Amino acid sequence: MAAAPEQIYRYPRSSTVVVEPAGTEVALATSGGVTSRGPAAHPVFFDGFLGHPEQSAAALLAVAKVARTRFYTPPGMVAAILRAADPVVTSNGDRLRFESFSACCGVYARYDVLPGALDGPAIDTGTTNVDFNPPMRRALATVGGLDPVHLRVGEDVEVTTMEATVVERKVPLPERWLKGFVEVQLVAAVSTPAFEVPAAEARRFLRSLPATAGRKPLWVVPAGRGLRLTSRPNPSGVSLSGTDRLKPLEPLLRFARALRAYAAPYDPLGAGGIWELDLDDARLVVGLSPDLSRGFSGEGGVLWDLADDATEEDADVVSALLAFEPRIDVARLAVEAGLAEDRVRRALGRLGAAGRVGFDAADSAYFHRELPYDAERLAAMHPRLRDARALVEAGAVRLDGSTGYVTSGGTEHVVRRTPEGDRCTCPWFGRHRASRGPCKHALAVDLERRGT
Amino acid sequence: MDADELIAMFGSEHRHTLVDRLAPLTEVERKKLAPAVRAWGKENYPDRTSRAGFFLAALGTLGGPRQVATAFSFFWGPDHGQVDLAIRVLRDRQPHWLPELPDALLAESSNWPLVRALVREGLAARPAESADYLLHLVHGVRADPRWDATETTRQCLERDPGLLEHELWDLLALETAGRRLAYQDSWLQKPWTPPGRPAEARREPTPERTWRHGLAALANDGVIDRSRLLDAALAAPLQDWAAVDIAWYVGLLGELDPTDDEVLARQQVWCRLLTVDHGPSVKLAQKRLLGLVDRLDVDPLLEASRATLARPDKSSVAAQLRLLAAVARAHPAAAVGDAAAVALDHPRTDVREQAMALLAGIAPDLASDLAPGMVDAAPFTAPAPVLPPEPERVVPVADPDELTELFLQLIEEADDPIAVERLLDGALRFATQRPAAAEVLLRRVDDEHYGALLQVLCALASAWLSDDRSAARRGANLFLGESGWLDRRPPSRSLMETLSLRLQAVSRAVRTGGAPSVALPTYADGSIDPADLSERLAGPRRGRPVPEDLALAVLRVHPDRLDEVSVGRGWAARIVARAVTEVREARPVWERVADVVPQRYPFQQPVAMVTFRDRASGVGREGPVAALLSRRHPLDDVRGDRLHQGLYDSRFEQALGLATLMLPHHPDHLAAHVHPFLVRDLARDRAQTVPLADAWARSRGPGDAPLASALVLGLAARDARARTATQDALLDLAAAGRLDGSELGRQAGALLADDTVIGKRVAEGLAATAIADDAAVVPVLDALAALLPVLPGRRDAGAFLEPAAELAERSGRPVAVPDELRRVAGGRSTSLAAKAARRLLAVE
Repeated sequence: MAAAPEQIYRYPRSSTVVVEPAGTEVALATSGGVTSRGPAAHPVFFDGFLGHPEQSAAALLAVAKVARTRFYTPPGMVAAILRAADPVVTSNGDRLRFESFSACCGVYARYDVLPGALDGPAIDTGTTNVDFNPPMRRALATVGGLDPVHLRVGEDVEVTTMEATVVERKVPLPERWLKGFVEVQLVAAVSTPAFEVPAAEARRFLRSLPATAGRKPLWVVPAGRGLRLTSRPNPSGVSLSGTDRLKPLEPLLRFARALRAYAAPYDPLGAGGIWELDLDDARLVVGLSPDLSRGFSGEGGVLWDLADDATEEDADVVSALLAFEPRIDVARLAVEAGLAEDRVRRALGRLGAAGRVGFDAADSAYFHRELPYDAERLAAMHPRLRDARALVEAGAVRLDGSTGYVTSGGTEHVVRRTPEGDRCTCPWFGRHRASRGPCKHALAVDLERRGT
Repeated sequence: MDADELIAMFGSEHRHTLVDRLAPLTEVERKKLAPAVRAWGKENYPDRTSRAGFFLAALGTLGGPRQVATAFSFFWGPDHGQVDLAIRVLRDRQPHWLPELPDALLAESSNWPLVRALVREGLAARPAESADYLLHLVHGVRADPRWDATETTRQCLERDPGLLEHELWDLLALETAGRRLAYQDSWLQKPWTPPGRPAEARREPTPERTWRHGLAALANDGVIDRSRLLDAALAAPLQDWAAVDIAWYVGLLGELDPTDDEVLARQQVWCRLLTVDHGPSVKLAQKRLLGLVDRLDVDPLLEASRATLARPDKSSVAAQLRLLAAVARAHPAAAVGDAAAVALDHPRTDVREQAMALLAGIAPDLASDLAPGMVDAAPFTAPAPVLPPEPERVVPVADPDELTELFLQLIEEADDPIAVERLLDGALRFATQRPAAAEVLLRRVDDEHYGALLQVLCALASAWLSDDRSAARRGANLFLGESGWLDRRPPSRSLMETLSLRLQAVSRAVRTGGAPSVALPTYADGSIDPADLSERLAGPRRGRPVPEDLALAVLRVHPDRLDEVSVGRGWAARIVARAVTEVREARPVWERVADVVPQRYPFQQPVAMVTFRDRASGVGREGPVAALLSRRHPLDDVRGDRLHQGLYDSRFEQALGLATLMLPHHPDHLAAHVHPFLVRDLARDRAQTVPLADAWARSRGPGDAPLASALVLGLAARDARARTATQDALLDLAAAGRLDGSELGRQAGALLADDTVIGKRVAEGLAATAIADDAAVVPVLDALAALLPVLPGRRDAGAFLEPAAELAERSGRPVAVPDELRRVAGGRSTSLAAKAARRLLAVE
């Protein structure tokens, strides 16, 4: 197997947390990314005070922990020490968002520091990587509730001798990881609010979750005055596979005001879910993949949109109008771009699939964020679509009315169009059915039909 | 020097000579000797002395760090007594790859002494990326690696004082060091007998040799900075580490036993310990802070208390409330009430009472404001039973193409029993028709499929489409739940055997051209409408239906509606008529059977088993209906290897799901058949019996003892998914007014009395069920009332009594309290059980 391409982090120095009697100084070093002025080596986003310091410290640690956690280890895999990707921070002007994605590709975490918790002006907008190192995490764990915290995200650096000052780290970022980090936004975009419970019930429910309940999903549904688990697929509930994947929320329970959950479109085999703790001037968001043993893949119908080249042009137009706004106004964009709103939404979906926007379920809106990874790599992801195009180009697709025949791997698969959607005879479809979007054969047939 | 000369010097008396002879060699000369050295390592298993010579030769001749590491992996690495010469060899040679050698060697912990020597002597930098350098230090620092060596950790560290400057502190800050240190110390803190040695060789604990003791001694004697060590120990519980990584540090804190002044100097940190997840850390902090409460700055403590009071466990919350009470006495002006009020939301009643008592004492106004919120003033009314919606109709497969897609889906995961029934029905009807994707399917069935049910379906596909007769016969004798190394066939007349025989019969019929299909359920609950069956029996058909299917079809008609089935005449009619008679004659008289069942081999422990016998079962009947409805000798199903039926079948859960459709109207018979699997799931991490809970929920007939016992076993399963599924079933039954709480309680009492189930799981399951739906309140209360007689003397009595009291108070229904519990209630005990018993008695 080819080694995963590496992400190179170059920080001018390590991030530090200095705890003193007068207060705590958190200085986060930044590496790469994009700002309002274009690509930057060491963006500077914020220099001011961080409200609710103990809550923020605990939340930042939770986000960092998700990055280096594998919630599922495949059988036979030796659990190695993880080289985790660094969290990503986005400054949207009035707020900061810290994001991470687990090593198992199934858990996404985001801490939104809202305007009320930031005391100081935003210096710039954009997205960058931030260094979270063990000494800094250790110090962050000692931040108490009464200590003021001064936060710097990035700093002006005069680098005279790179070798002397740069902290460089290389971390492999497999395509599966990148794709999942990106696609969780698309799951969020199609999720709908399922329920909200007050803090006391949130504490009771999350602490009562069994440590492990197997890989098969359970469902969380409102019951009486609170929540309960059920083994039955339930359209009004939220699917939950791997109950310990909600553990990142636990350290923040004592600060919680409410717990909200959003459910991805119903699938009896399990679907993704977005869990949100409402905090003081902040939110901690955890996104879970449909199944403990797998990440996000093809949910939200993104592959159909990506197969449509018309959305590519629309995405180019829309992306030129984005300015790291915290809440993208679709109506305004539609006017500015001269496109219908549904085309703008599809364009945003396409941009989301390339890691260029995120989705905030609480605001029910996209926010501009450019993941600080190789843009070409991000744009070229989605191997199923890639393989589908290759099948079409190789002349492997034959249409016969509503049925398509695709020769792949020495076998001619049959793709039938039914009222419930396309059905294929390949093992991938047999195993996953429609829960992960179309298989490459169905995509290839669709592309052939459109003459793409 | 040639290879033979070199190898001849591997003995201990020649080691120094070996080093001297290696010193002047050029790299070209070394390279020539390398193959012989490598080969020697692969072919020999030397004693300790020649091993040392081999290591020296490997370091002196092999071409790179990976080769050296591979050579060392043949045996354990050089120990402390051998590293000096190893260092000499490397110093003499100065290979260009020397800086990379530490990382390569650290793959094996036994190489740590050599790596440490390289770092100490300045020949290589300390490995920066690898945590193994620090983790392997824990054991590697010992000169004598044997477990019965006498050297203490302190002596080991003092022998290499450089470790105390950097490595020690880095180790203590490393996330996974705690579990390694705990493991190392654990061997020294308990008596231990070396494997294979007699009891006289037992070694007594030597706690003075542990890392904890050693570090504490070094700190107390000023060899290392005690203050720094205290800070390092306190930092660990604050990290987001796993509990297994934190526990050792709590022990270290206990060993250090900080003075009051040391605690006060770090009181912020000690207060932060109150907020962590790790219970022992919280307890330690509470204990130390309680003794200093009059000298503390209370604001951080009050702030931290909010987290402690939200913990789910009673003991730490109760301790925190006691700490807050002490704070209130020492600092009357402190806002203790606001902090303590957090506990009023606690799920445990006794905790809420304790919090309210504290508030009443220190903040009466606040207490009176909050008190009304604790009482649910809404009167309880049990909702009327709601009939479940009609189950969906099953739509037969329309054509061979759809049948092919269904095969392709189910041979990946056969997790939908109704889909499997549709597949069987379709296979019988379309046995002579070939679909467009036939080759695709045949190619798929040739792949490896795990699980007997999937193999059966693959065999069925081959029977349908394959021209190869041997392929078509493949799997023809498969039995569900079979394992390659155990008895292949399930017990006779058991549920799984009957199902397996049916599937084999269907496969034979498909192979020979198909048969009329009669057993497809009409509805998704597995039932057949009598009109449908009549139509199938009367309609024109080619060939004879599968006899097993005829019997099964009768079982799928509700017994009260068998009169509506028009049997017709002929061969099929005789089978149907006999089946109908057997169903009508089945009037079980259930008797609980609990026994210890031996296994196949003497070294295997006998297994405690619970099941049910039907005393009224007839004898001498052999048909499928009789097999399923006769439970005369149930323990025969579990003797010997039969106990392991399905244990190693990765798809056995799916097979059980299919089996539930064999008896949709006989939930007690189904429950009796599957009791062994339910008992097995009490200890399995991954349950196999989850589909059974759905079957109980679907059942429309009244349940008796076997069903109630099965539900209790489901509540007590180890796998949370099985427990959840059982709670779902209880809720469905309660909502429909079909849950017999008293019988549930009687069976729970019996299972508790013979220690088959873990009481806490049952109690939590019953309580959760009652909370989830008001319809479950009365049946659950009846269940709890029925099992009260077995509770006296049980440690988990409170777990049952508390929800019983809550439900009794809520519903206003008194329960009969046994005399022994009355005595407990009448005493002065403040236990959970006593308080709950008093509350029960107060409900009139």
